[in-house]
Parts: sequence; structure tokens; C-alpha cells
Amino acid sequence: MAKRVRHQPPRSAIRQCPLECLPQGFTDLQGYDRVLVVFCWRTAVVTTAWLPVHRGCVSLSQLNDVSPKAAWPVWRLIFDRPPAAVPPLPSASVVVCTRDRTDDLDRCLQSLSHVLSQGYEVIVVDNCPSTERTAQLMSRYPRIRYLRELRSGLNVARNTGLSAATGEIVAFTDDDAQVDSGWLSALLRNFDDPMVTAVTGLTLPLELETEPQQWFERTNSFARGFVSRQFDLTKAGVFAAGQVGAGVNMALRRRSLEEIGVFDEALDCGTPARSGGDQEFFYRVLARGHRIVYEPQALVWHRHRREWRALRRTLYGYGVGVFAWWTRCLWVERELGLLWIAPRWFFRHHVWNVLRALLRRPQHLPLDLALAGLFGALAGPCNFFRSRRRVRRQSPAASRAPAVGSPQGHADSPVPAPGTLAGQDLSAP
Amino acid sequence: MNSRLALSIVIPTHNRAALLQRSLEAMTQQSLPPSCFEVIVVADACRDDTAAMVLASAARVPYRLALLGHTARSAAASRNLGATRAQGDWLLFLDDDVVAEPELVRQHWVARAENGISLGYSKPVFPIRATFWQLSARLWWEDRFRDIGRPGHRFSFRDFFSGNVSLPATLFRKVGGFDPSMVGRLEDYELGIRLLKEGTKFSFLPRAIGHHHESTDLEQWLGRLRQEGEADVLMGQRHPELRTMLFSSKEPTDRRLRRLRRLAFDHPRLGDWMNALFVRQTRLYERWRLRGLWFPLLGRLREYNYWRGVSAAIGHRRAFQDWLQEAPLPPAVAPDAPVHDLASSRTDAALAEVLDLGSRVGLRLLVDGSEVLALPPKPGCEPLRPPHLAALVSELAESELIPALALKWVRAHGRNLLCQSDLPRLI
Repeated sequence: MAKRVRHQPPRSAIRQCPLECLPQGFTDLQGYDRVLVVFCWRTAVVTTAWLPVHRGCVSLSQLNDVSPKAAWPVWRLIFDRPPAAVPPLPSASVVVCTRDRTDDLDRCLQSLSHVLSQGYEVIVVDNCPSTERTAQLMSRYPRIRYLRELRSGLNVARNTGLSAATGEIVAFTDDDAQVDSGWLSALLRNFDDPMVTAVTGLTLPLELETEPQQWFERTNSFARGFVSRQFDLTKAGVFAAGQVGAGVNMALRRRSLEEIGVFDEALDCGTPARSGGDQEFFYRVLARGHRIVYEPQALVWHRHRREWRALRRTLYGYGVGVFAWWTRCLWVERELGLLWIAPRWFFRHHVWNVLRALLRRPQHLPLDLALAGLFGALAGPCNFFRSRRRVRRQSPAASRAPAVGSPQGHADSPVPAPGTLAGQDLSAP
Repeated sequence: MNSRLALSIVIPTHNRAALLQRSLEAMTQQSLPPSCFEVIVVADACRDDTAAMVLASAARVPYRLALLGHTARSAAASRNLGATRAQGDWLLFLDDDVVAEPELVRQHWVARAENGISLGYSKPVFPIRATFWQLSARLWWEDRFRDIGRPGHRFSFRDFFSGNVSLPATLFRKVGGFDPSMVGRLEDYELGIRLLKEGTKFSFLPRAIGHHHESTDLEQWLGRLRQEGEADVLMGQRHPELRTMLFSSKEPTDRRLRRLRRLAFDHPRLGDWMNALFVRQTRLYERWRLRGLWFPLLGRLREYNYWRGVSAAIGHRRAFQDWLQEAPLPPAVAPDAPVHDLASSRTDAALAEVLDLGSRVGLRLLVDGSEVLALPPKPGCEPLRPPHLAALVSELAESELIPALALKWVRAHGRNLLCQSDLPRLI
């Protein structure tokens, strides 16, 4: 597509601001037009606010004016405090799936150093790498287990990580994310309820330097509010799995996978379905009667794509992914409700966005992004079947990818035993 | 070997030899030495090979296993019969579909030191391809046990489940055991009321885990709801002080549900026909996986079947309302009720004394001299103890205590505050 000329976008910075002792404003914001202030109280993020920047500075009075916005979440934190006797945290492993992004991965692993020092296991799954650079980087982290999964697909890599992990709980984050110091313990705290199978956390942007990053945060933000929420069959629609969270910041209970099945290898990055693997998993968690908790104290910073082309591709991929996993639900699980929900979402979201862009309504999405989503949605069902055929070709023994098999196969498929998947343990002995 | 057995386990059963065999098998794996307990199986009108199976097991198992038989068709009567033959000082009631983990009996045995009622944790197990109803029932059960296990939970008669519970045999005989005239499953609750009237302490044993293999489904549950309606009427007749409480929490919340209640009382035949239609509809919705339509329909079925049970026990709607009117008013806080200031520091003994009196005549809670909450006595509940108060305060802080304090503060300073233009800034 021809490179289009855009007006100079406002540059945005992100700053953390502890509420216990408000800083005397910020003075290091030269070159920025506005700042996203992230208010924290103790270890938890309680709210965010946008503030304009004058001559590189934000004053204390500006901070004071917006800080009452944090009052209600702080209030909730005080009264929703956990009971005095906190049960011991379960054992856990952290899995990071990566592919040819060494700079990002390096930053991610540095942020995980406190997890390592607390004695938790960290596993990096290198998914179908095209170069040896990741392996070279990993030689600098001898305490981290390094696996290589040669079949392409994020969900394939996740399953490899699941079967290699030894912890009772497996936490996932992406290579382009950076975890906060209290991240893992905040996720683990919620597993004392036996019905909780998955916990998701709050994901905030790591930087908003370029316009595509700002657009991503505006249209597809991973943040789901600052108040903890519970989702189950009786309270939420199971197709609202997108509200629950995302794979960049989640933890699962391994024992429950016997009932729920593992990630569907026909979905998510690296396959024609492009995304939706995490959402489809959340759907199955809810549909099998388990519970998901959204825990905003588990904080991850995610670096959004910097370029327009990457953003367009991402939004196209999200369009494909949603309709791909919905197609799977309709085809495999016979969820007839989707015949009503999917067209509604298509018209109310995708078509509506394109129309608004064409009519130049206020706050409309750029036309190319809206169209990317629309075309993605149209391609979704077809891409799902292509992806499914591809997975079957790759692994002739259908039992190797239990979540994709026959309609009866997915529910009672056990967790594959370590070693059955094509993962090779390449960590230093 | 002890000259006297410590614990007698009573398992009532009815035509479920295979399930029973599994739970007897689990008893051989217990960490408590088998000389410390005996198992009494009470076979109630069994036509399958239960007797042969139990006799064959008795020769094999390391613990003492006795078999009793009768035809009462009532789990309550079976448990009573088992209790009369029990030789142990403590009774542990288990259901025949509960498969005990190795720690279960030991946990109950250790809990004898508490000298009260010990509830075990019955984890529900449903088939792999569970129905919508079974999935939501599992959530309900697990949440129930989590509530019971929270520190400071105040037990009421609704927490007494006879599927996995132990109590002193003397206490059981003193209150007269289960009441076999209670229909359905509510004999548990009824016994719970009598035990609480004795002032017995309850405790929860989170590690006394039994896997409860449920096979109930929607239609059986609806039948049970009808029995619950009938049993609530019986319970209201036997314990008039509970009558208002039993039915006030079940009052329908919207117009459509109120119409269903009227249908159950006034046109039961039409109602039953509609009930059958609704049940068919739920099956259709379930096959198409339309949860958004299934769950509201479940709410309607629940409402109808409960009130249908009530109407079967009491007759016409007018009769029911008159019967409710006759009940004594729910207890109020007495004028001379004790007062407790949350800001003051009482010794534990003094606080326990105030709370004990407060749970009989009512209690007023103060913060720094101003009243924030009045707690009327709650029939069918444990006496208040300091941990209950702590849980109550943290639960009600947001909804009751702090609004009451804020209101008092605004009343005291409101006139001055409202004159000032910078009120928003102050708040």
C-alpha cells in the first residue's frame, strides 16, 4: 500500500506515580505532548489518567487534580483485602513463547529475574526459529530452560511449554512483554479456589511513542479495568472470552486440563488462523463449568507494534482469529448461539467501523485499519479449516493434537505426557 | 487394640451396590488404624446384591463391617438405626456415594477434641460430559464449602449436611436423632436446628475430603425442590420462630416469578403442564447450547417447583398467608440489649460474654460512641463469637458501617459544609 502522509501525531509518554507519596510533578518530558499517568497504591495499579505536558513538565497540581479518580479503587483494595491466613502459594512455572525477537525477549527475561530468584521455573519455548540468535541469547541465561519447538504455531509452543513445565500452575507471558515485580504471586494468590482454572492480569502499554501504538491502545487495549472480576458459566456469556483477558498475561492450573483439553494447535500466531488461541481456551474453561479470575494486581507491560504495517497486520489477524475460533465452536462444539452472535458482531463492529471511517464521524478508526479488521473477519472461517487441514497433515496421528481431533476427542483428552510433543530440551545441563 | 471403638461410621444405602463397594474399598486405605473404627452399612429396601457384596467384603476388610437391613425407604430412619447399633463414642455419617480420601476418617477422629460437630468437605464429582445443570451445581457446591471454610463463618442449620459429618453419639441420642417424618433431604436441616438449640459448636475440616459422585440431573433436582418446599412448611410448623425467616428469603423478586408462584398455588394442574413444557424446552436449549436462554428458564423452573411443594403441603394461597401471619414476629433488638464499641478495647473474655448475651437478645455496635449497626438475634445460627464479629465487620464495613458513620458526620457538620462553596474540593 502506498505510504501515506500523516500529520505529526502527538507523542505520548507513560509514567508511574505512587499515591502514597505523590512526586513533585514530572520534569523529564521534553518532546512529549501528553503523558499517561499510571497511579499505583502499594503494589497495585489503581487507575490511569491522561495529562497534557507543558514545556516538558507536569505539575503537582495537575497530578492532585486527577488523583481523586483513584479513590474508589483504593477504597476497594482496602476492604477487599485477603483474609489474614493466606494459604501457601502453589508451585508454578513461567512459560515464554518466542520467535525471532531477541531484543524484546532479552528485556522480558531481565524482568523475569526476580521470578527466577524466588525459585520458580522459567521456560523459553523457541517456536520454529529462522536464525540461531535466540539460542545464542539463551546461552547468557543458564538458569532458564530453553526448548525448541519446530512445528510453527503459538499454541503448539504453548502446549510444548505446558507439557514440559513441572509446576502445578503454568503462567504465560509473551516475548514482547515485561512483567512487574509482584506479577506471579498476584496471579498465584487466586488459585486457592478449586474451581479457578485460569487467572488473567492487567496489561498496560510499555510505550506509546508512535501513532500505531496509540491506535492499538485505543482500539484493542489489553487492559480490562482495575477491579478484580470473576467469570463463570452462570455470570458471563461464554463468547465474551475476550473480556476475560489475553494470553500475554495468564496462568492456568495444569490439573484441570484433563477436563478442558490443551490449546487448539489450529489456532493463533504461526497458523492461518493468526490469533484467537487464548480466547478459544478461555471459552472452553468457561463452558466446562470452571472459573476465570481477572486480577488487576498482576501487571504486565506490553510493547505494542511500532509500525503501521505491523498494526494493520495485527488487526487483520484479530479479525481472522475471532471468526476462526467461533467457527471452531460452531463446528466442533455445536454452539448454535453463534449463528446469532457472530453476524451481529460482524455488522455492529466491523461494518460499523468501516462506515464510520467512510463518513468521517468523530473519533473514527483510520479506514485501512477498519478494512483490515473487516477483511480478516471475512477470511476467518475459511482460514480455520485451512489451518485444521494443515495441522492434520503435520501430525498424522490425530491423537498428537488432541484438542483438534474428533468432536468427542477434545473434552477428555489428557495432558500429553512430557516428551510426546516435538519439543527438545536444549537448556544447559 | 482398643477395648472401646472410637468411631462408628454409618452408611445408609439403597440399591447402589457398585457405588457402595467403591466407598467401602476407600475405607481400607485410611491412615487411621482400622482397629479404631467400625463401619455400619444400613441397607434400606435393597433388591440388588448389596447384602451379598457387604458380607463378602466383611470377610476381607481389615476394619469391623456390620450390615443392617430394614425397609423404611428413608435415609433418616436408616441413619437412626445405624446409630442405635453403633458401639463407638462418635458417629460419622457418610453417604454411599462418597469415596473417602485416606485422611478423612483420621481428620474426624482428631476433631473429637473440639467436642462438637465436624463437617467434612464433600467434593462433588460429575461425569466428564456434564450437563449445564451439573456444571452449575458443581460451582454451587464448591462455593458453599468455600464460604463455610472462611475464617469467621457463622454456622447455621443450613450448613449441616449429613453426607460427611461427625458428632458425639451421646449428643445425637440426646436430641433424638434424625426425624424420619421429614420428607426429602431436609431432615439434615431439621436436625441441625435442634443441635444448634443445644448450643453445639460447629467446625469445618477442609482436609477431610470425600469425593461425592453425583449423578443427579435437572429433573431429579426439580423433584427435590418440591420436597424442599414441603419440608420448609413442616419445619415452619415444628419451629415457628423460623417461619418468617424460612420464607422471606424465598420471596419472588419480579412480576413474572410472582405469577409463577400464583400459578403453583391456584392452578397446579395447568402449572404442572407448563412445567413439563419448560423441562422439554431446557433439553432443546441444551442440545443447541443456548446458555443465554437456558439459565433464565432454570430460574423459572426453580421458582415454580419450590412453591408447588409448598402448596402441596399447605393448600390454598390464602391458607399459606394466614399461616405466615400467625408466626411470631422476627426477633428485634431488645431495648436493654448490650452495646459494643468497636473502637474500645475489651478483653477477649469480656467480649465473648457480651457477644454471647448479644446473640440471644440482640446487640448494638458502636464506633466511637455513635451507633452504626443493630444486630437482632438470628434464630437457627451459632451463638456469636469474636471471630464472627471480625468477619461481620469487614463484610459490612462498605455497605453499612461506613455509610452510617458518614451520615452521622454529615448531620453534625452538614449545615456549615453546605454553605461553603468549596465542598467538592473538601470531599
